[in-house]
Amino acid sequence: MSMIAAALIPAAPVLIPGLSGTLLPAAVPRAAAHRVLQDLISAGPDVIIVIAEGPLTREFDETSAWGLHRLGGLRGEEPAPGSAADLLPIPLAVGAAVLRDAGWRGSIDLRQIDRDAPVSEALALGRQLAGSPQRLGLVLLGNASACSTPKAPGSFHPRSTEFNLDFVTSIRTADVAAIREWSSADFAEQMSDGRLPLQVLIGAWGEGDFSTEIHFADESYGVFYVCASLTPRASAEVSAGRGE
Amino acid sequence: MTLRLGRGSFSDTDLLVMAIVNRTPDSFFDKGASWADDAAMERVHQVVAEGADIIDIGGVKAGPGEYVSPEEEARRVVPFVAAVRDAYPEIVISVDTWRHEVGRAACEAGADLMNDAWGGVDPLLAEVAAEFSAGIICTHTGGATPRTRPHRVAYDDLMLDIITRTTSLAECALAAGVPRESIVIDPGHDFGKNTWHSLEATRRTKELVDTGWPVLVSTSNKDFIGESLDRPVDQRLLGSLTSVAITAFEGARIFRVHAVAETREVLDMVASIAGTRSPASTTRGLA
Repeated sequence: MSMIAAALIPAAPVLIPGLSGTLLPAAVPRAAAHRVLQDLISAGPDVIIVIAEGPLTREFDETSAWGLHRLGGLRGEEPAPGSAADLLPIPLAVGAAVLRDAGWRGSIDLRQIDRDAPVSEALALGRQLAGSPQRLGLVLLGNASACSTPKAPGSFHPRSTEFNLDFVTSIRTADVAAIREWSSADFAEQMSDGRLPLQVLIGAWGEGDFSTEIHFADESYGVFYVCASLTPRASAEVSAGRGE
Repeated sequence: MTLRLGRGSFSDTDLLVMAIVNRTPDSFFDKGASWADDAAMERVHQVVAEGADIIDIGGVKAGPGEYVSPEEEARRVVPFVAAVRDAYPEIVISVDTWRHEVGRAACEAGADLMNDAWGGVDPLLAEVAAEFSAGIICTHTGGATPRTRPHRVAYDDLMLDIITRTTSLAECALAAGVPRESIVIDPGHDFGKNTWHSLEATRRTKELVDTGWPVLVSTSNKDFIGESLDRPVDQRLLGSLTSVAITAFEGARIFRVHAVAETREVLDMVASIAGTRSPASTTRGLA
């Protein structure tokens, strides 16, 4: 296994400088996202894989244009690489943009996983990624509930507080069994896109133990963001063949 | 093109004020100010006196909230349409609904215009408009479900999407039997859009006007104005009026607003600048 570290951030366009306006309303979660991405970069990966949920499972070329113009704003200012006609899905484009903004200049591998995929598919993808001979970092894109306040995108869901607490607790305590059992129906109901990326991660780490450092866990504009650095425990690192 | 909205007929240089009258307890701006029958009728008297051309009556708030059944929506709207018709036999009455059952009952009570603010969710609404010789407003929402907020929405080409969807809805209304001169398109500010999108739709109003369909804009006190100026909902009048002035100059013809008197004055000034309205008094340097 070669997955040396991971970072969890939301696929929130508001994290991209220039998209959130001059008052920088998301400065605190943006700083936290940068912090966890810089932790990941500091771990020294050869390649960073960015993974998000989407309508189907597929890979994207690193040279695909980000196409952030689709979100409005950034007219003529998009720092997009490449010229491929195939634009990145918005979550991956946001992830790539924030990762570059955090200072990563190396290779990026972009993966989308079908949002309806079962946990078995996510675990298998994680194992497959971990089979790489390279030292890999993983950026997990996902938020908890997007129904966390009355003004939230999905309005207020009465179970959102409990859902957010469960989400954060499972990650903080590395509760692999709980993450494995996350319900796709619950995540859909809460407009959360955080299930499969975390399940891919535990697949990559062989469902072994990991440690978590959470730098941000709060709602922003009704969406509950978690920014966390995740690393495998020593035993997992050994089995990963670190230093090969 | 002459605009014919039920019993109302308007020339191509008329700039029309559509006054919002909510029969809701929870709409974002007025928060139930015209929920009671008396208050609602008082609001109608006021906006007519201030120069409204169209009264737009809605029974369901646009944002998320308590479910309102078609029966309850009709209960809120239809008797009031009848009361306004009695009080003002010639005024154009619009009903803000996406449901054909409500539209039908409103037309039977005297409504002239179906304000389909959720963009063709119920295709039968156009058939109701045709049956009653009413007009219809075809709104862009990007395919959003009624009463939902946008979440990370994206468009490959925003204006192409707006133009394609609204003109397609207009053609469907035409095919259903609504006369061409009774069909209006609306870019749907803030509906299925973030603030950048709504600003772009405002900036590029002329592209919508150039389709040849009459254009309505509904920007009054919306979040894209609040986010642009960092103003809460009760401090968005100047931003709202600015959007009215710009879209009017670009060729929009109907303006759905809360502040009727102020909008009327802005539109008169825009028309004066555009040369389609004579100034009220021109003695300066001419005596």
